[in-house]
Amino acid sequence: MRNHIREYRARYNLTQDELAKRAGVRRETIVFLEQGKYNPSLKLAYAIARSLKTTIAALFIFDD
Amino acid sequence: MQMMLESFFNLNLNSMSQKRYLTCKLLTVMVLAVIVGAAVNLGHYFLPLLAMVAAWGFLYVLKGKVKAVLADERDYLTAGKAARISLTAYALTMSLIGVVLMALSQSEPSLELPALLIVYPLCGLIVLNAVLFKIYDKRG
Repeated sequence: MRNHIREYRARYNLTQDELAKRAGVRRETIVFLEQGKYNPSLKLAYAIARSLKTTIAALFIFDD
Repeated sequence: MQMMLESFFNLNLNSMSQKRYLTCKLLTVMVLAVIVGAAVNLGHYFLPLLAMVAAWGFLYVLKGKVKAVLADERDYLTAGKAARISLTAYALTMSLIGVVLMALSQSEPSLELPALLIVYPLCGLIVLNAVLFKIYDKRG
């Protein structure tokens, strides 16, 4: 699953650490998410989307 | 106690970062290992117990002072995966050793006890895993 976390993070001028703090996860998790190596739970996806003032659908790209 | 530790290690325990917590954890484990090793060598069996409780209490207090997230859902997922693989590897290895020892005990009866000592705790571990899985599966 691909995502636009990096782009949204850049838009709001947030570091990985700041986003991690806002979403309540470790920075490493944000790194793995951005690299597409980890699929978050719905709860985490929602927390990240809310932290980046967007929606889950806009942030994550579900490949068939 | 806190003031003593703070002055001795030059630490401010009220502003605990994740890195500092991990350093303290490592130091505590090292000190605990020395105490347990020395106490058992000297034949004091109450001291290691006391040291373990003190270390657990100390780390519990420190953990409460950490503002950063120490573990998140990815850590729990990774821990679950590691535990599952560990259990599988352990169960396979021990059951194989148990079966071999059981087979050898036909000609060498003294091997029966070690075989049973390996196989029964393994069965217990598998049952415990199955029970816990069922409980957490129902809990959701």
